[in-house]
Amino acid sequence: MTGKVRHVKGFIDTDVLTEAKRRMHHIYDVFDTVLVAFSGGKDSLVCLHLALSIAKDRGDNNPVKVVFRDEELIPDSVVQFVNEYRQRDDIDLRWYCVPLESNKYVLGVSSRYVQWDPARPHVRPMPPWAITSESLGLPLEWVADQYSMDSLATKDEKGKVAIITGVRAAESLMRFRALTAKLSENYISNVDKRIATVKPIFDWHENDVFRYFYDEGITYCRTYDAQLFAREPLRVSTPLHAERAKRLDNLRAYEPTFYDQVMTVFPEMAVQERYWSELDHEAMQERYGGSYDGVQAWIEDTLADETQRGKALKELGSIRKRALHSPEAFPPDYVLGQMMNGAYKRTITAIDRKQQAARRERVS
Amino acid sequence: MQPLEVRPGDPIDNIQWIPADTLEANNWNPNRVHLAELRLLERSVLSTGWLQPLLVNPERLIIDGFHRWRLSQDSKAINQRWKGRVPVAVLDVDRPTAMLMTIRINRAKGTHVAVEMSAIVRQLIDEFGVERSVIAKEIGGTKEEVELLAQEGVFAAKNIAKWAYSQAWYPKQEAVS
Repeated sequence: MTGKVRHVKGFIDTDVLTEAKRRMHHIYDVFDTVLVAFSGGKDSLVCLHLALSIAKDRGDNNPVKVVFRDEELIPDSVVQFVNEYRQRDDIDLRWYCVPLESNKYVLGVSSRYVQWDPARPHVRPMPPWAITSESLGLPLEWVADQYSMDSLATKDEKGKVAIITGVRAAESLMRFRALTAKLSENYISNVDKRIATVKPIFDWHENDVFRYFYDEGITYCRTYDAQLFAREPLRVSTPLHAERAKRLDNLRAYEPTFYDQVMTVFPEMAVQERYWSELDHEAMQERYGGSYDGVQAWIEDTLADETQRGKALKELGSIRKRALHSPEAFPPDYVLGQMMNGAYKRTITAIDRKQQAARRERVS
Repeated sequence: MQPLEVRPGDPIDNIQWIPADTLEANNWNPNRVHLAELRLLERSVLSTGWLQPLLVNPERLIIDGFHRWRLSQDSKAINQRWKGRVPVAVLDVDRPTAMLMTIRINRAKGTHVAVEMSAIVRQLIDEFGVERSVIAKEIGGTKEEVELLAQEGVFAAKNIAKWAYSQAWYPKQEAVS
């Protein structure tokens, strides 16, 4: 025994739906205001319908408050889907189209762009009902980040505010770790004294989500059927992010009109689409993947954007420190691969013991 | 080699049958046709005959149709049936123009849209009673691909009606040995 502990799943004798409803009641008990962060995607759609049903159970006849942060780069199928919810009487949906920091990914290099940037043409027009910087009386050059977006969405709300999101642990190892970091009320994270984000369906699987729609007769956004046939992971997110951008060619197959809209405004993405699969990963690995200094050279050679470079260097610094204790957990070639995938914007996780053993075997 | 004759009108107005081995490959062609697609192309030519000519310039340089040209020599069945000849339409352009045209023609070919593909597959199965294995063979796909396209949507594909809700959990501590 080393005395070390780790956090794992402790199953309880209830199904995920019953437990999610219990969590929602708890949220309504503890917070003064509940806001659902809706994206049009399947996970936040579950949260929205859970909120509708819990509010009804509690005899609350006020419309459920919903925030939709329009990311500009979304297909019309999603826009129409969200708009149907906007028009419902039992929902009070605030549709934000404000400049927001984001990243696009072209051939291994991630660079900054601003959603709804007033300085360039937009992928699609802002809908007339949108809340904009102009309607909020904010300066033209104002650009939001996630935190300022949360404050903006909650500024007129009373008391303690819960922002419900559809984040699930099964989505990635990063999310699993974030959702198991805290042992008590793991699904509630305080943003500040007044605002918390809440993840009532954190333990759901994708099939639980669709089972819920199936049982409740809820129609999901039709982009998921198109993604299914195109053998694409089921997601509603902008196509310029690292993971999606790698499969940009597939966008032609599941959202052909949207593909055209994106390419008109971001023609550089065509370069990504045509050559990503051909990018010489092996040569890059040979040149930069031998040591942490090599990885640093890659960062300095390829990341032109200062903020991006700063983030990557900071992450590498932290990896250098962590590697002192467990060198096998962060092989330089793995770190380079992660950096090339844009993972430096988050925290690069260690490779697990099984993979470490497999690597030892390969070397010997 | 004698240059090919350029006649007035559109290239399609006069098609000539010439020996495939007198043509020059456009070795710059960036379009990769993979083995499975090449077999599909062979099957297509053999079952329907030549539907369209290759496009070449007067110097017998191939602008479009490189893979059909390769098949006309590599596929024994095609070579024998047309006695090593291929249909060509002649366009009077120089080499750099020909190179640009190759790229333009390939890029302009577009992509199949998933939802429409699924609709066609379902119509073939439901209305015309075409077997799934036949569809797979004819479109050069796998049976698994056809099965997926034949589904009505996520509920059917994931067999959701049979899925029972998972067991809920909360994080707990565990000692690492």
